[in-house]
Amino acid sequence: MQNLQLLFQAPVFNVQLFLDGLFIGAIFALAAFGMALVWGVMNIINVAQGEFVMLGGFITLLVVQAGLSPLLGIPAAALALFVLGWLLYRLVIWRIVDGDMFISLLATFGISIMMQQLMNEIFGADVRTAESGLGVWYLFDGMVTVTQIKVAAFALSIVIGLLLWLFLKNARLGQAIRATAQNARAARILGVDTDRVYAATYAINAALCGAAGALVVMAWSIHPYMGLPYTLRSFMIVIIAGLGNLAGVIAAGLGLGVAEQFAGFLLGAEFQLAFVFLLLVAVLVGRQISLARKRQYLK
Amino acid sequence: MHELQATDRPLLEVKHVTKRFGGVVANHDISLSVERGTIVGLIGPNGSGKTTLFNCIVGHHPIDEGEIWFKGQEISRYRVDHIARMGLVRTFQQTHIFGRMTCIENMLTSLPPARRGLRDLFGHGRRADRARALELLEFVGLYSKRHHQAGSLSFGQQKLLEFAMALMNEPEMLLLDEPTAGINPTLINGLVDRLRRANSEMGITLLVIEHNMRVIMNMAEYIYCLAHGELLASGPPEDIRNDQRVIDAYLGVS
Repeated sequence: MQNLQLLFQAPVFNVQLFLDGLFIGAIFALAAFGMALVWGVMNIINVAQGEFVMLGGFITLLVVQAGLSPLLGIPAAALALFVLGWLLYRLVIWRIVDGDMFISLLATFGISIMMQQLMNEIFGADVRTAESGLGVWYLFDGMVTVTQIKVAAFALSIVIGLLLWLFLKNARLGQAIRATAQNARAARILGVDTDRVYAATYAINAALCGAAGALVVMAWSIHPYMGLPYTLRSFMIVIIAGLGNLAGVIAAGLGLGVAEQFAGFLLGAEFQLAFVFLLLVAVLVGRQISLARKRQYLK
Repeated sequence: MHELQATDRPLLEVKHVTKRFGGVVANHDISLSVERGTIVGLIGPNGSGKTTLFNCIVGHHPIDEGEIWFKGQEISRYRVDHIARMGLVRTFQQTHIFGRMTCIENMLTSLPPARRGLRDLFGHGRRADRARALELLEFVGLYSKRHHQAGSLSFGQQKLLEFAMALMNEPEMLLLDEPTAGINPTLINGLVDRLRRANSEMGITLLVIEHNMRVIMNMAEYIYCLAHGELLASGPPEDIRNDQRVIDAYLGVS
């Protein structure tokens, strides 16, 4: 806990941790938004969420290997993951969309393992990063460093999230997605092809994760086994915020990012993930207690 | 508005349809037909299989025997949304609307099937569609509620909204499941008038389940009566009104 003293002696460290937390938190929020979308519309908890993020990162690496700017990796990853999401729906997800949630957990867990192993085979287990070519800002006489790509990643996640929100609110397909989420039977009776809506929803989620992954590989780093923590973070954010609550997802995502940075600094980086898992348990227990209270109240 | 059919076949034909749920025969060997442009009634005591027949026609339930034809095509094996896009739309006894959307959003969810291009998928709703949606909300008397959440409407208003949404879909045929149930009695005449106008002005063929005998006898040109899952009687309203079997079925004498 020596680091705690450090935070008080040099308050500027707080600024560094806070900013880093916000930057990564925006990525968490992006992935969580996608998970909430799939969960709300299809009643599927997509365990492969983090793997989609990971794949987005590797696709960006391919773009870099081809000699192109890593920034092109963002649309490339989104597009590739959109196609992959659509294919996965047509191959696997459509069979389980009306089924038990346990089945869908198993199926998407299977997808996640397959992707991990596949990427491990192809790229190896090394930690990789893509050089964005952007510079660094030094604040507070160099005490706080802010890489420009992190700021760009933060801004882009917000833009992407807003675009998706506008799409869901206004576009014809977005409206069909929301309608299907609320009452699939009623949507079908009005001629909405709910099967296509499900495919589009799953593909849009994958694209969202792919874009997030492209930002991750530029601003941070990726490896084939990075997925699970991302899935769990998304899960936790959705549990905290609730389905269909974009403001809540953003707040919870940023909050989690900041909390993680501070935990990592105080407890040591090796305990940062342990902290995430602990927090998840605490959130689930807390939710359970508040739900139990509500039920008593209803009686 | 709708393309003319070369054939003289009825718009909807139900041929010897049987539907079982386990050991229960909900519909047994039912045949009926509805001519284009008409209003046809479907009556019968509770549990006689009317709603099940609706569910079979629009594809919610796979039928066990028989055939269902719409616009000269067999639709017995088609999916619900496919049948809807062919122009056969239904409403429900318990409303099926989108409670957490406004009335106008509900209306725009029910756009006719022709609008399927990329621009329509990703673009903003067309101005003409919005105008049409408002016009239909006006038609059912919900214009002042257009920006209200559909879930906050009363049950009767939700039924009116569902009716407007069905019209928005520009169907050729509408199956209405008890349109006047839950509607304020003072508004029923107005609703019946609107159903008639949907038929005469918009050219929509109607098949109506209704328990309010005064309403259905006034509105329908032809009536089918079900009892215990079988077709009990059929004919013009005046015949049905005086049919002893129908009277017995409703009074519980079997």
